[in-house]
Amino acid sequence: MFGFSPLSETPLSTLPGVGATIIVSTNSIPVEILGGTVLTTKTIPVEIIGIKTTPAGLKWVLSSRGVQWVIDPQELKWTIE
Amino acid sequence: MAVTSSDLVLYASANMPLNDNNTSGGAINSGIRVTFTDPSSAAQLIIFSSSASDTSQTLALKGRNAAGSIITESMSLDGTTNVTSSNTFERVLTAELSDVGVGNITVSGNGVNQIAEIPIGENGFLRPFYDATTSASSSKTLYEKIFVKNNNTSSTLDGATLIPVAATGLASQITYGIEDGKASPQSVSNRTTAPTGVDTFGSGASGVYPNGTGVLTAYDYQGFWLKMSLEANESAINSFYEIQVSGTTS
Repeated sequence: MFGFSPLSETPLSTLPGVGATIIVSTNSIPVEILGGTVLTTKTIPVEIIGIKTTPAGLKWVLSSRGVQWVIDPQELKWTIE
Repeated sequence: MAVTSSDLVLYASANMPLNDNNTSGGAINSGIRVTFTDPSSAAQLIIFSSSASDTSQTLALKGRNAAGSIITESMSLDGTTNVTSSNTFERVLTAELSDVGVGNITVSGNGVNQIAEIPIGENGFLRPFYDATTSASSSKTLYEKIFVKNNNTSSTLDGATLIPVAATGLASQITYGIEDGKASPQSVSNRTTAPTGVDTFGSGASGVYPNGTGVLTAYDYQGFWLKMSLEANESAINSFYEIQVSGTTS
């Protein structure tokens, strides 16, 4: 006589393809995003000054009989002009 | 933390001469910046701090009035309360605190734009080539040194590069040269003397030392010289030099 075992009596784990453990592998892949290019514009104030001139001082003049004397600003002496 | 544009700062060197006779260059002065904005029109200046504790410092100001004369004024900080200058400034030449602030110190034109903000731990700002005057009979070349510094506390600026902005301000009269050393303290006897520690002066993009391929790590800095050429009998001008700082960050 052939024996008969109802399917329900067979442990599921013994059946092919049933009860296999599913392995889930979590992989962390390093990825970087750079901040990118930093670009900053710097404005440096600069001035250029034109030629500095010394204002002319007072000129002391002494005239007599067609002859003219002026004071030398360096020597502070009368000189004939 | 990635490097941001505000981390990249231009600072003065220790010797920014007031004339053509004194020493020019030297080490970095990390308390004095060389960037600020002039008042859009002549105005009194206002100063105040972000901290009420800043009441003991004075701010020494030099500038020009509308007639072009140099004027000076010492202003006393009063914490967060606005203090207004007696003088009217058409432009600013130098501004230096007697001591660093507990808070950020704002310098502003009264009724016009902000001039600068002096960060905590710094002393002020200045204009390079102070009182640079043209000659009646001959051309003249002046050299002054400034630095670019990465103030980021941890990150590096890779491929750090300087790029002058063409066709703006005094771009046709000012070139620059990167020093062949990272934090070199080189100076020259006066600003009419060319520095020796510079390979070339130019107006193109150039990476920092070494060989234009360098990086600026956290708090790292690179010196470079500005070379300004003045023609004989050149007219006076109030202008600027514009330069970009570029690089990549992670």
